[in-house]
Amino acid sequence: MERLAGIERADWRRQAASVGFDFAFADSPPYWNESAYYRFTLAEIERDIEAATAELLRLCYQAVGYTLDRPALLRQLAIPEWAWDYVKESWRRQDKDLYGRFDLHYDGAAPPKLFEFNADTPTALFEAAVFQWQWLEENIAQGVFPTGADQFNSIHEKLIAGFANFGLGRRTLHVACLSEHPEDLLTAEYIRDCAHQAGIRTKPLAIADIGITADRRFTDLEDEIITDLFKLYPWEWMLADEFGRALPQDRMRLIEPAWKMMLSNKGLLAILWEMFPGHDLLLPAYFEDDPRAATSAGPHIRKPLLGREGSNIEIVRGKPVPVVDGPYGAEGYVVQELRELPSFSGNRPVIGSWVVAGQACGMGIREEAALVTSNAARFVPHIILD
Amino acid sequence: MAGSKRSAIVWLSLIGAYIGVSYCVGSYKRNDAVAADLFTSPQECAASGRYDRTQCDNAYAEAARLNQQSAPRYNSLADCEADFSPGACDRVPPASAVSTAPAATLFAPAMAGFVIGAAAAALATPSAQPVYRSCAGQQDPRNCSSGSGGAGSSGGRFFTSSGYSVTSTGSGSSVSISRSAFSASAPSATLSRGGFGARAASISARA
Repeated sequence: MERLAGIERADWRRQAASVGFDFAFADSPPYWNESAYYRFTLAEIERDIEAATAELLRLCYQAVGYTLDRPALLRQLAIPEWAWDYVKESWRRQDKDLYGRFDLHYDGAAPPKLFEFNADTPTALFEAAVFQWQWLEENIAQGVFPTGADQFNSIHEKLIAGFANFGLGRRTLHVACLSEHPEDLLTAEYIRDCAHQAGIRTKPLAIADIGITADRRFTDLEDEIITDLFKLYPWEWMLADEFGRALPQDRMRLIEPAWKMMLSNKGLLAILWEMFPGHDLLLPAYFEDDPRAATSAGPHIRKPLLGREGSNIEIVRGKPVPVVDGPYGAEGYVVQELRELPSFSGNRPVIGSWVVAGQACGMGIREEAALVTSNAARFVPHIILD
Repeated sequence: MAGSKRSAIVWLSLIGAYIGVSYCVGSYKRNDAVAADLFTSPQECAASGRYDRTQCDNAYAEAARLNQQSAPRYNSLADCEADFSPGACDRVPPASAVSTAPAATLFAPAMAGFVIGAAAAALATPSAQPVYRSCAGQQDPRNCSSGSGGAGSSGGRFFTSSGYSVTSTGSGSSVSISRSAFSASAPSATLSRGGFGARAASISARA
């Protein structure tokens, strides 16, 4: 694994703008950073990243059943009690999940370590699946990279295959997101594109435009009943919203399914450590109110159970870093042993390892100078070249 | 190539040059709001001076006709009253005139007033929609339903039959409402919208 200087393509901004990826260059320095790239060996990818991701996913699926069987853990994860049966039913029925992104520590030397699993509303998807792929293809075409250069990235193929296997048949998939955020819009639109390519009829919708009938069915703006919904909107917010309590009364299928709440919650990290103590892909982690949390001697990191984008994360008894203020933390915290991100000339990359329809299938790297990766991180593409 | 770790081809069918991103993205946007006026009676409408007597009568008649057709129907009085307010609901015939089943007993809230689209103020028959007052979630439902007058004059929230909420925009009868509220002509089953997305305003969902 090494970080190398890249030559920016002359027209990458135009290409990004043409597909709605304007936020690639809206900030300075730009979010999309092809002035550098990471090179991995095939062994690093297959032995370390891909195999580790498949193993972590296997552990996570075990953790879902384990958590659902333990009321104390459901309470600890702040899942409202009225929703327990609803969540359990989605697991018992084996509702299919589509995708997720493991954030990993990796330095090319030691096996990766799990920082967290973005299992419910992961983004940075389009840039990993499409824009990064295009970057490699063009660089190969122009002779910058040899034809043997490759990339850990079959995300696009796996998304289409995943949708084709969802059993939607002739039903319509509604795709809903928050309308205010360009990143969310692009992710939702890309998901809809993949579903469309899998032969599924789709309709876009703003989350706030979802309606409800007197007999508690959900509708779109044309009063069509929503039978299948992809929502780029966190499960815990759906449950807390006004319509949340109507969800268990309806038969609407959701992507991601309700049981994904067991995995998108940072409490997962403590549960995994309880189930698989000493596992070489895991860092020691505890719920903050667990006595073992207080006795763990080394520097550690404190994460809200339901946090996003690095907000409200705090490093304790290590090198102090400023806390990024944010709206999270009311539900409680987990503490996790601190593992500092490796530094490549001052740039600290976090590996976003993608799973689609149960398969490890790609990688996107975001980096910044800080120890806690936030929404200021920049996306840097990668190649595989031995 | 054999053993490749990447997609053989990445092709976008909806995103990009063919359809245009702005079109696609636009359909995720919440409906535009338009200015309108809310009145509880044709008399109140005429007294406002914003519409003449004929316009007010025509708008009221149109709203009353739509009310017959599309007021939200409930199987039980209790469900209806829970969504609107105690005493607000009555027994009504089914919305569809064609029914082979024995007439079911249905309940619907009484029309509490009507909205007129302000953009149509010059028309003899302005576009109008019936509205219903909901006291769900109010501390004192009796007090909520006793008020009269415009949107700002008493408790509760007003909704159209398609579930669009009516928002007071200051004094008098002025309100704002989704543009789509006026185009929904078919009998509508949707009672309420906006019950998801409360956390949306300031925070992105991304992780």
